[in-house]
Amino acid sequence: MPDIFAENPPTTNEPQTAAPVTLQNVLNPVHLFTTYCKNPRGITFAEQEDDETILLFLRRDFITNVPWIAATIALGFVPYLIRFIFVSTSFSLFTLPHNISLILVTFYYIIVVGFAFSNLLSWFYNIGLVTNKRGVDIDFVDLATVNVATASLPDIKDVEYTQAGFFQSLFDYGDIRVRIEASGEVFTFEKVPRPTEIAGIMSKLIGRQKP
Amino acid sequence: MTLDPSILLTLFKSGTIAYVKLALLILIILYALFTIMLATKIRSLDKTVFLPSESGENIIRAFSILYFLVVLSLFIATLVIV
Repeated sequence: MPDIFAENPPTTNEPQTAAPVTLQNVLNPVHLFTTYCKNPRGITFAEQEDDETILLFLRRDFITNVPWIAATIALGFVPYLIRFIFVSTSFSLFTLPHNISLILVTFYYIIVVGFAFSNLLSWFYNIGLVTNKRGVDIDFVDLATVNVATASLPDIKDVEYTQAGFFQSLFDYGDIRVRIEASGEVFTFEKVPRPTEIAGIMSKLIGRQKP
Repeated sequence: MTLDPSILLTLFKSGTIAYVKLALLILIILYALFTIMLATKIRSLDKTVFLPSESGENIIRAFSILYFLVVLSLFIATLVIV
């Protein structure tokens, strides 16, 4: 008698039950200029729970630093420019002793370095984190204020991204907006690289969390 | 009694230089306070988000302290040299 309802033996050619695509495979190191990292290694944040793992580490795209880098270089040439103008027009406002002018110029360059450093800090510490439980947005505002916004995944209503303008399309960066269901508030990961990918990952996570 | 204009000019110049020096010292010390604030802020951020040493946080922290020391050195230089 042929067995009609016999269970088929497992065949090796068939693909195994597809393991859910998680990001938790390999831990990646975060370097000084990292702007996008899946499964960052060694990063923790305040209020992180024991069973909470960070899936995405985000910073503003590095190309967004170009304006302040250019401004710093330009500011570096300003004393030379002023000196050139004064020398070429034989104009002098006042004559300061050499040591005072040396201190003045040194102080000026220290301020220029400070300008660059504060901009670097503002970029370095503006961090977005996506964990398996929530999204965390850490903003280092005006060097004195740290603003930390979190939204747990079940509370997130939707995730949208915008890529506005030529440069954002060219360098593939944009804003990710996360809308929170209860309050209707929105928090934004600004100018992060690969917004399509991030929005996709977050949407999948939200979908998994929703009943 | 007549006043020599060259003496007046010298007095004016030395007075101006003293004011410039004072203004520089005040500006530099204010800036030094700002750099201290920056360094402490960076330290306190460690409690908000911990970044590993390979992420360059140590470089940033070391630079902030070095930066403060440079400003402090400039203050001392202004006090001594000028």
